[in-house]
Amino acid sequence: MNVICPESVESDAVFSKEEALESRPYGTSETSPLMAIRQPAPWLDDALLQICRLSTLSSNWDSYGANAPNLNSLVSAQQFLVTISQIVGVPKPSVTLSPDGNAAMSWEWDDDSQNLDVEIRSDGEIRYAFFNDETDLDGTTRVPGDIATILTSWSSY
Amino acid sequence: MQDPEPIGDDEIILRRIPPAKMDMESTAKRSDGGLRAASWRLATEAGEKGLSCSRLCQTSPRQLLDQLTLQDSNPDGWFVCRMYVRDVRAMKLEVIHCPTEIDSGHCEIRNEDGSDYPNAKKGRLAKKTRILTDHEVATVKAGVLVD
Repeated sequence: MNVICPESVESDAVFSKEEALESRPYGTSETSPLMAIRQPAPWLDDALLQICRLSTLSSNWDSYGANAPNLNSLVSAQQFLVTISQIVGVPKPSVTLSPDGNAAMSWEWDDDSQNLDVEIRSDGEIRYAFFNDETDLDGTTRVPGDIATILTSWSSY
Repeated sequence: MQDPEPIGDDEIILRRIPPAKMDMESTAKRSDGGLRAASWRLATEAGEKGLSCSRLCQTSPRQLLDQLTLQDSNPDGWFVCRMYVRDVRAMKLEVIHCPTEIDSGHCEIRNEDGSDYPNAKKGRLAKKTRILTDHEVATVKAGVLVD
C-alpha cells in the first residue's frame, strides 16, 4: 500500500483516495459506538495532501538529525485521518513529522487551554500526549476512536 | 570535551525551527500575540537524551541560522525560537552546556533525572517559546537579552 498522492506531487506513490476510503484498516468498528459517523470532513483532502508532501523530505530535514519520512507511517497516518475525519466533532489537525520520521499531528484548542499530540508509527500504533491545566495523559493505542474521544470530550478534562 | 558548566536561570537559549514551506506546521500562535514553536519542533528521536539548543550568550540567532550552510541547507525561511532557562527548569528539565566544533554555545535540554528526554513535555515547553522576529534575527548579537 502506498502513500496517497495526487499526480501533481512528484512521488513514487500514486494511490486513489477512493481506495483509501475503502481500505480503512482501522475500521469504523474501532470507533466508539456512541460516536456519530459522517462522510469525511472537508479538511480530509488537504490533510492527505500534506502527508503526501511530507514523503518528499530527506533525512536531517530539521537540521538536528531527524530521520527521513517513514513511508509505512505515512500510509498509516493517511488511513488514520480517513477514519477520524468521519467522526463528528473532530477538527483538522496540524500535520508534521516527528524526528523519528513518523507522521505526527497536533490539535490545539482555540483558547490555548489544551493540546493533543499524536504520532503514527509504521505498524499503525498511535502514540499520544494530551495536557491541559489539570491533566497530563500519554500512552499508546491502536484505536483511532480513543483519539477521537479525547478530541470530542474536551469538556470533561 | 569541555566539562559541562552551569547555566544561569536568566539565560536564554535558542533553537532552529524548520520553515513552513516544507508543508508542515512549524509555528503556532502565542496566547499573548506573536508566534511560538509548534510542539513537535521540540521533540527528539526516541531514546535521545537531550534536545539540542544554543546559548544566546555565545551564539546569536543569525549565527544559529548560518550553521545551516555547513549542512548545505539554505537558511531562508527558517525560524529561531527562544526559551528562558528558568522556564525549562520549572518543568524539571535541565540545560547542559555541551559545545560542538561548529557551535560553542551548543547545549541540550535534558531530563532532570538523567533519563531520556521526555517528549511528553514538548507541548508544555513549546508554549514557553517565542519565535524571534526577522528584525531580531538580523540584529540581536550573542550576549544581548531579548524579551
